[in-house]
Amino acid sequence: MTSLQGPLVLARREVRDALTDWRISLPMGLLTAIFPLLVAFGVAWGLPILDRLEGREVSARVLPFGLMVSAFVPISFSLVLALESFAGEKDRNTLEPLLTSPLSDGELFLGKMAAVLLPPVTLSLAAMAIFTLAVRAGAGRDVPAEALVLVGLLSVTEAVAMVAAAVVVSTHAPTVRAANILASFIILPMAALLQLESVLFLMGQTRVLWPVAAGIAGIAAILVRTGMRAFNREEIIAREYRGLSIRNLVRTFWSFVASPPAEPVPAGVGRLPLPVRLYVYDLPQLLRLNRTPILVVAGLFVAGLAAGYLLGVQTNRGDNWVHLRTALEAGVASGPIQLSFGAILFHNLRAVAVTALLSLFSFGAAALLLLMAPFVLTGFIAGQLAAGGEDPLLFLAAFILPHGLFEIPAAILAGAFCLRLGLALMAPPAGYTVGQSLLVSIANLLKVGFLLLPLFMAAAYIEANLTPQVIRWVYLGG
Amino acid sequence: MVEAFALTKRFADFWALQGISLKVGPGEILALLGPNGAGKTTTIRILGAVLRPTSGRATVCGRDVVTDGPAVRTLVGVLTEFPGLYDRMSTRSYLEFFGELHRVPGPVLRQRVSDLLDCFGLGEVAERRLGTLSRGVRQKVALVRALVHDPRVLFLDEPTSAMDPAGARQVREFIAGLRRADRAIIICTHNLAEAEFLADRIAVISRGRILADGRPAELKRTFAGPPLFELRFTGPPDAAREALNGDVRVVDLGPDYIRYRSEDPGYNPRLVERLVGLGVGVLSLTEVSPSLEEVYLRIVGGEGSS
Repeated sequence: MTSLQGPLVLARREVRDALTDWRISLPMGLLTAIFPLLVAFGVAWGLPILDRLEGREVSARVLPFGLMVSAFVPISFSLVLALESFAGEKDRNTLEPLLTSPLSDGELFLGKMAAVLLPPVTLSLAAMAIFTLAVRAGAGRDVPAEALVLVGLLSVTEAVAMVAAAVVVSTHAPTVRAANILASFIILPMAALLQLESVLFLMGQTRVLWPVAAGIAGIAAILVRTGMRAFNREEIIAREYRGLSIRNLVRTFWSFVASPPAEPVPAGVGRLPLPVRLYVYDLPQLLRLNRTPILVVAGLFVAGLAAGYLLGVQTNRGDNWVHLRTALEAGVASGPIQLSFGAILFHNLRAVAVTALLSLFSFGAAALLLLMAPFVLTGFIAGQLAAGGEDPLLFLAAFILPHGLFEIPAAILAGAFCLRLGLALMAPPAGYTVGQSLLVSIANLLKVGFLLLPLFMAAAYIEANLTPQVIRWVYLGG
Repeated sequence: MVEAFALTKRFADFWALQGISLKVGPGEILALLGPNGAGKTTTIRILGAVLRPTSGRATVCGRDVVTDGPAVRTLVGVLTEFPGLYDRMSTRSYLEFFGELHRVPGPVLRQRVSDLLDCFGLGEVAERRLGTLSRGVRQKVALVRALVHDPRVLFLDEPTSAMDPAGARQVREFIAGLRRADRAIIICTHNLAEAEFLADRIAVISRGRILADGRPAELKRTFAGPPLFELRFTGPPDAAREALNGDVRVVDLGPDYIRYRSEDPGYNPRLVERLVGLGVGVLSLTEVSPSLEEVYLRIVGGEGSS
């Protein structure tokens, strides 16, 4: 027996179970059959009007849009089926007998994924076929082949992403009800994605949708990997003992905060009070253990600066520097730059907090993109100056260097630990569950916060008080 | 066939097992007794290669439960604490589904399912949906599920807890029959009478540790204290008490009986002689066998007070 036969046996049972339950199969069948017809009817009715008002080129954009909407409705069933298959089985105590079978964790996961993907994807393809035929019959128009492939690809990748995310949600939810509530974390980004796709289809930006589809496929792959890690016997059973209580979470979180990041702890260090040990042992160890993400983030910031510079040089309009200098002179002449220590510090800390939060939902991408943005911008201005005949290094030395000595290292560290936080869900350290991985990453970020805070405070103080003086001295002769 | 050495299991900050060692040979039934949360289910989950131990080692038929998990799960049949049946499936298709997961060839599987259904008196419900069955019948189906791949080792968690007396008796007799077929069996139960009836050995487990392990008679001897005797007599109780003369510990005294503990077997003839001398009529003198419940409570209670 090949390793695929076990998953197939499992998938066959679940598909049969879903399809023979009229409470599931009837709405799925009706929506798949009726919704594309309604959309096709609307499109067929509206196309002549659009042709008349906007021309055939614009009206043609409605066809892929209608196709996408028709295809997505059956795909949305995959979330319900996945929550039922994973959280539901746990809730009804039917999962443990499966765990006693010889199937590996991966085979169980594969079988269940196939079971919850197969009906929605099949129905989605059927909905696309119904829409395509109905539009042809009703309006005499053909859906472009590119749109058919693109929508098919988008639908499949979205289904895989939703199902894999549902697995992650299900492993953390004690009941189906809790899993349904947690599923908001899947529904909201998916709704935003659909809106983006709709806008792009209606704007005729089909070319942009290919990279979007590739991006969704990448996210789906990451989520599948995370789901495979989350769906294992150890994690599922252990959750019964641990439960999902705030008290347990707080206790586990505190144990990560209170524990040194690396073992064994040198003699004497273990006896130090936590605030002292934090600075003499924990923080140096955390920096050592996270040197790879620190180097990656630092490298990307440099790359961002360089990219911004090149962009600035290439897009120079000649008069930009004149505007910049005029604005600068006006600002400096009217008194000190209106940025207080508190405002700068608050801005920087808020940026780190937002980055950390968004990193969780973007697998660390936000940590790189959000914190890289100021570097790209700085590089861009430096590039504009260089193209205008000014010295970009002088600009960097005056505008950035004084407070950058503290702010740049702080930004790199914040980026690195936010990146770790984002990666916590898909790459837990060996021996850690997904939840523990998340908690330990938050604990580490909190610890590093005690290094970031003084750095950001020093940077804010310099930026509020010293940097304006340096700028005035360099550019306006004091 | 089943061996465990110093198994520990930690869940976050809670130690479910703290050094469990046990051995079960072919044709042997071990009963794991213990209060709720003692670690019985965790033990069989580790031995069934569903959970990994935090430390320690366990093998089933020579296969390591950590490194050879799928092979161990093939060798083992597990009756889980909750039947966990798919309500919309028929009994037969459910059992065949699990047989397929265990890679039992089709013709063999169909024959075995039919035989097991007949054996447990489930033929009538073979085509009925599992959701329509009573709790006791559902538990029988779950037990058959554990047997459908003809495992050499069985781990049964509360095998008769939901059954009526007749059903429970049928299952106990079947399990006893499996012992004769050289299967190694571990039963987790709160039913002490069942444990005493079925088990060759009993391990009392509490807070993740085995507090006592031995044959029921050995445990009784070790943990029930000195033998308990009951003397029934006619005549004044005061005279009977005087005859005991403070040599033994009186456990209970009634108008026509005395219960006492004595480790000296030669004491009883002397006592009878003394009673007769005092004019007390001796009706009977018998040793009262301690119940397993008494032994169990003594073991678990002793651990709780220590």
